[in-house]
Amino acid sequence: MLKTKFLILLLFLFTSLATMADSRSAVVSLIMDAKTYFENDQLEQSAALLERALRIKPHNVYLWHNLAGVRLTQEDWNRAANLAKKSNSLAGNDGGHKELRMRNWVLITQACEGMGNDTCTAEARSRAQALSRN
Amino acid sequence: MIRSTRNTRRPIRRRPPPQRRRRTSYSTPKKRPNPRKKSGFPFKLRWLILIIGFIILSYHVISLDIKVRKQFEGKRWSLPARVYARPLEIYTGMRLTTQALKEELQALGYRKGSTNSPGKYNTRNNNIVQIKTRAFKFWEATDPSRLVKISFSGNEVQSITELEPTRKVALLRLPPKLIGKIYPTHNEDRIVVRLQNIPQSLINALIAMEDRHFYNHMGISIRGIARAIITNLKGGQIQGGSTITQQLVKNLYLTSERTLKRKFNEAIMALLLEWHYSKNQILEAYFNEVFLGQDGNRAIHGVGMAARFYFNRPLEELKLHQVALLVSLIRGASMYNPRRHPKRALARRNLVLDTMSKLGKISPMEARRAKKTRFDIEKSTAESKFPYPAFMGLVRSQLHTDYRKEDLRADGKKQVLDLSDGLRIITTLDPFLQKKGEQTMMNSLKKLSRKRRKSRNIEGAMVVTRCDNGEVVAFINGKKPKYDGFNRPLNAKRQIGSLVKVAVYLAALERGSYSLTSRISDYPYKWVDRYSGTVWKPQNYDHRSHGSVYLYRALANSYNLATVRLGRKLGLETFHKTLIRLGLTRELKRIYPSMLLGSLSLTPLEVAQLYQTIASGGFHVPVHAIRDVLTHEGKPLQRYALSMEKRFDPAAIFLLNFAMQQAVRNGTGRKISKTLPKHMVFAGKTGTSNDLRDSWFAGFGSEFSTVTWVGRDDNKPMGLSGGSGAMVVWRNFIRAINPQAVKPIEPSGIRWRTINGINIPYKTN
Repeated sequence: MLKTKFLILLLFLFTSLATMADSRSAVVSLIMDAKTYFENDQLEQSAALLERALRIKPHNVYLWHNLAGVRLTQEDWNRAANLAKKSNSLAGNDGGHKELRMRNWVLITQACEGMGNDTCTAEARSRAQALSRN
Repeated sequence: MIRSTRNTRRPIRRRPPPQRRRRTSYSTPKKRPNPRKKSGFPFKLRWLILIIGFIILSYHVISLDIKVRKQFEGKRWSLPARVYARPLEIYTGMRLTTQALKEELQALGYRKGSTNSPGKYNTRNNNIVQIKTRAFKFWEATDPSRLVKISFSGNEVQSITELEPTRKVALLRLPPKLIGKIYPTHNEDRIVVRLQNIPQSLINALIAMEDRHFYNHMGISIRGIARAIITNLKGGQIQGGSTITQQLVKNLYLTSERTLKRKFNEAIMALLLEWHYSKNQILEAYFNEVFLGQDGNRAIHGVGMAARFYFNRPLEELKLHQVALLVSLIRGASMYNPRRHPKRALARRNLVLDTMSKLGKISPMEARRAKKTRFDIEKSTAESKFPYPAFMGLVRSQLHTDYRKEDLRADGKKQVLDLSDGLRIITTLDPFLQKKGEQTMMNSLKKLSRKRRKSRNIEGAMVVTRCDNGEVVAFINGKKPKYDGFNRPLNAKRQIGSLVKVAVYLAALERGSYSLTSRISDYPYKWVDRYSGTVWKPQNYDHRSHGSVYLYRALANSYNLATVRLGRKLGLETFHKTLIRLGLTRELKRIYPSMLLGSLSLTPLEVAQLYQTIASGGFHVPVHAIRDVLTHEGKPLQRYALSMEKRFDPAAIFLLNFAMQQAVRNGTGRKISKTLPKHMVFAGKTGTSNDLRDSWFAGFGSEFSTVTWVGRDDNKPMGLSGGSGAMVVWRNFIRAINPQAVKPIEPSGIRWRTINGINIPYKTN
């Protein structure tokens, strides 16, 4: 649990920095607030803020990924996996999102492990490994 | 003159003087005759009566005490659930006009003027709006009142600056607009307020007019009760003279009957109330209970609701003359109703001000100034009629689906969500889009109904959702959207025609053996029912067969023969399963081949769910109308968190999306879409039922998914196809709201090839 949370926190920082291009943007401000809630273990509040950000930028792949991370921390495995898949589907063919797509597959692997679904775990893991090799 | 013996006075029986008993140890005490012994029985009886009377009284007082405490400490009032629209989020770079912002502020009850108090705004040069916002408790945080300046550049928000202290703000969330109420069992309307939020002037005015000794008595006014008893003995009715505590007891626990018994109970209960609770607690309860007006079958209780009802403002924002008016209503909300009897109400209000001045609660100058002020009341009763009955029906329906009915009742049983607790329900409705949708529907239907004689009585429905999270942002019902009648978007179950075809083509595209350029047969088709011998021979809309056609063209042109043949090849069960995966929840008893062409009936909301899954890239997202539920005090209770499930391969959805774009631009929708801006990319599908009884269009861009239906309530033919009816309404709506409509994101595994000059995508794996 602690390990997962640490991983998610790192992801938060990573994704926040990635979207920092427009520092004044509403989305960044919401991400930073969501991060604060996350650090204080107020996970549902953190998720609520990320959902607000998604209403502003529904195609922001990082937001979907972060939300998946919060759900993973809450051990809401199914929702976490589906949100990460959504992030991947919006990441598209663009090679620029390779790192993110890999992280999404790592997240899905953890969610599948949480669900006790071996097939799903194996598939997700192989996808993550394939992306890390390329 | 015969005198009745009854009237004969009995002689006074004098008691013999008591004799001292001398007791010596040598003599046995003589038993002296006790004078009472003679009448020993009456002596015992008196005591017995006294004891029994005491027991009965004690029992009565204890039972009253239990009643007083139970209700005062428990749930005192049933409060209606308050339903809000989505809060408007304003951020830099957002597409928003000053006019739209002003409309939003006016809908929230904000007033133009100096921004020195919450709920005020002003504009400068039509490109700067300064607002003093009101505080609001949201699910995850409380947004405080802020003074902000919003600058516009064209139709875009250029910057948001918070003043006091001055700093740039990235995001500003306005409080949401109240759009409706759900009453639990009766129609009492109230907003519970805490004493600390009640203006001191209101407390002073109440005490001055109703009970000057409130802080000194123990709950009852001896003088008042004595007067009441005398009046009653004289045969008259019990008169007033009640303290604030007695009035509260009467309102909270007793009926309005005027008898000595009730007055007696009232006094006992008032004493008990004062014994158990502080003056402040009693005062707060009084302010929340007092009856202050009637609006149809809705009773206005408490000063919080009355402030809204008469002035459309929160209580904290009331001025002295408004406070005086509220207090003047206590003696008779109907008699001193300022809307009906302005002269009488004015006289009473001024009396309140004079009394306050006489008692030194306000200065004579303040009284004079307040007396000169007009009522300042809203012409129409605020929060009386709400403008979105169809959407409210959807909210109720969602609540009833998500919670068992007994959970919604105020019966003290196990409750998950009790609507009598004054819940705050934050919904997904966007009033701006709703307004545009209503205007479009009314104007479009008016024009369409002129086209043909059959079309005169047409009605319509429209459901607009956000593509990625399934939120219902607009829910339009017919030509009279404000009329609370048959809820078409929610309940009109109509044949969906060709809208169903997407399930056939999606099922095909999911299989590796089909691509958009696969050739499929559009030759005549015949089906014979093995049991009844019924022959079914479907035909294309143009009554022609098109031979072998590309799959994407078959969908874009909505060819019936090709669809039936493809559907039969894939199997009816596959088709049915695809529908279920898209979000169909209605049970279909038997699947017929005719269903491949849409001979199944669904509501616009159900169709919206099917298309939502396509619009969100193959992720099933429940279409929903509620975001959060908070308690009356604003504590988080329930949240409808974003939830989704990947149900289709994004690549298959991408191909289907391409074919649906062709349907809009080059297929059945080409005539209508000509008038849409070229840069907008929309995918959509028309639908028409037999004999032109139903006209459908479902379309989406990158922001919103919209389902539109046009038809007659009596289900008679009305002469409009999907392309000439519902799609026209949709096109007009799109032009009115100008949404984002960019190309869909290309998922991995998609390649392109050019066939006959058209660039067509295909799947690589």
